[in-house]
Amino acid sequence: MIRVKIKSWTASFRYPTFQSGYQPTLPVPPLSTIQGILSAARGEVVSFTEIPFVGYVFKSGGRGVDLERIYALGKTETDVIKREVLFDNTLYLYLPDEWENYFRRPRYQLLLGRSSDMATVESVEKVKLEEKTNVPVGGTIVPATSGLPGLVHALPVEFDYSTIPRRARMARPFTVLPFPRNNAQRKRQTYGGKLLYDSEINIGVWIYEGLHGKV
Amino acid sequence: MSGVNLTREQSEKRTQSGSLFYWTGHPFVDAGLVAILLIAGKKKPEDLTVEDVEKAISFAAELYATKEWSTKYIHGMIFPNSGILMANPSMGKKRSPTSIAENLQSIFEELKSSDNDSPTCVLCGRRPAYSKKDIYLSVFPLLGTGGVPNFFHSANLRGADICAHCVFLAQFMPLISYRLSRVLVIHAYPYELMLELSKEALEDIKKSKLASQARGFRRPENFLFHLVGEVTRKMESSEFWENASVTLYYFICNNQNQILDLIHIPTPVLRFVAYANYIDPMGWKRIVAMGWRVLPDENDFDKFERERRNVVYSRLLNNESILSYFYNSKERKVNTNWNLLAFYCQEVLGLDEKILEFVKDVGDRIVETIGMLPDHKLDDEVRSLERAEKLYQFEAFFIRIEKLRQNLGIDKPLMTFDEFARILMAYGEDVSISWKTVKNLLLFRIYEKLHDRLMKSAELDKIEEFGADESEYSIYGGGNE
Ligand SMILES: [Zn+2]
Repeated sequence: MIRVKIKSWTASFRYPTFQSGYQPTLPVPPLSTIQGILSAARGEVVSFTEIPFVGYVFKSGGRGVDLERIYALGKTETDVIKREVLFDNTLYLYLPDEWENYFRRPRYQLLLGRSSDMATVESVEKVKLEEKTNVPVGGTIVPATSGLPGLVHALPVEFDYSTIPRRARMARPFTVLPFPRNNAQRKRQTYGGKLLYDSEINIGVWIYEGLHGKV
Repeated sequence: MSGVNLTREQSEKRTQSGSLFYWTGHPFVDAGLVAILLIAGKKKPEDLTVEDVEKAISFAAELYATKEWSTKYIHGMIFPNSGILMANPSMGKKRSPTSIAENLQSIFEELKSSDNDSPTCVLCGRRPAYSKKDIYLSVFPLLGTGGVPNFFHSANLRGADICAHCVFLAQFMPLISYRLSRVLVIHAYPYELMLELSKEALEDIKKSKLASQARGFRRPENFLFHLVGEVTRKMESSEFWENASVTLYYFICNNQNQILDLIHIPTPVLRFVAYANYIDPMGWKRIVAMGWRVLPDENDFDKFERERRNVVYSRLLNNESILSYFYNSKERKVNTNWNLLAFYCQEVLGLDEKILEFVKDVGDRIVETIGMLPDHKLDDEVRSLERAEKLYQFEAFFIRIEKLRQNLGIDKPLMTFDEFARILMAYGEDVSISWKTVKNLLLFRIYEKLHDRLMKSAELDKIEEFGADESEYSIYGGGNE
């Protein structure tokens, strides 16, 4: 498999329904954002059904709140909202080898959220991750049924872009697990089952493979 | 390879879903489900019957039709201009329990239909979006308004894709919300926990017909931490919080204002607060009390807890250390015992157990040394540790203690060179903790062991140094790290 390292100055991942007045950001991207990044890299809409497996780990340096002016469609008046933004971000994507070419020369601009959250590919490496039990997970989302404690929220898995507006193809309750900051958090976010472990980043990688051919 | 097969999970759920309702993970939808379950006196969505739902509808409709609920609460804070709940002030004349119940009933009926042409619900992903109404914030709080369609995907003029199931449940959310200066929804997982933390809201409504004011608490985090203590003491165990996920949604949604604070309580913090309430409730109270600018006396604690922002709570929520609140440096006494301190260090700060034991041991050796000094000298030494604000001052303290041991003729050295290096690095790679963590631990141990003597010498000092500049003492006023 390959590991793609993507960096950005800013990122913002909206909750599905908090969109008026204040837009908080999820601490890590949902799967639908990953779908967007994969699609941008390849230059056409992709579905997880075509991808045998995918995993990701996201880290950010901090967060803050920004003011954003919204130009209402078809109107002259504007609206100002507060938006929470993540800074100094790194996203690691774990993908099948054939994705290397797409990320070496992405077709469209990669984004970690809005059109202004531009991201660049820093490296694409072949990696071999070892399978381990009892490893900490973080910087990703896991199904709420995993039993790991964190922020539980309903999130879209992927969108169908064949219509306007796009439509959710699947949504589930997930547990959002930020990248652990200390040993205590690592301990709390330790998963008892088997997981691939990235020893360079020192974190377990939750791999989604059940989506292949099924959504 | 590993991971969980989401689709398998989904199809299993589908086969079980003869049930009317299911958990979604969305705080407002789950809250509505909690309300219906609590009204029915049940714990699982699959146990709910149509009669339970009808009971909930008439319970809600009765309340929502009153002026207190409709214009002030529902319209003013949650669902502005709601047509479903008839909270729009212009609907005052037509508003009645029957008409609200009819509206709710008609959405409930939609659960049976399966309009496959509709997009899938963005929250539960199981049902087609509700199409009889455009879904904006009057139907589902904190969504955008129809006036600014760019809040929605591709400027969807129909608002958000949310299904009848999720819209229906969200209408019951006010029944388990707490009304502080904004609306508080406590979202928790596993869901039994959410039932437990929300039931007071419904009980209050049953008593007063008014939304629960959370016993006059004005800050959501204070209320939650208070509940954690109560639940733990009632359960007589802190295990309840083992893998608990708790997030507070503190919002207001009306025509002028849409604000949301999203407060996630880290699980290590939950576990620690529960454990503290379980093994040393009085000590925990003393620690919390130091989080206010003015230390409350015994009678004021409850009042402060209800009304004032507490630094201990906010530091816990921001992953900042509260070690210095474990002792009162002004009175040179500890607020709790070493056990609770150790639990905090391991569970929240992630300190290694061995390191902790080692620091405790060094603390005991320091106590052994300075304990042999006359009162005023003892006071000098402790003061030099208290005042160490720079690393070199901290190091100098150990060198002085080492010299003292030699002068006092104590056999063993305070520590070896390796141990010295270790104590300066005991906090490992985590730079958010620092040598000040070790300093706090040592001071805790010293106060714990030598409080009586330290206070005696402080009394002496007061007499000797009478007239000295008061401000010199103010730097000991506890709380700062
Ligand atoms: Zn739904």
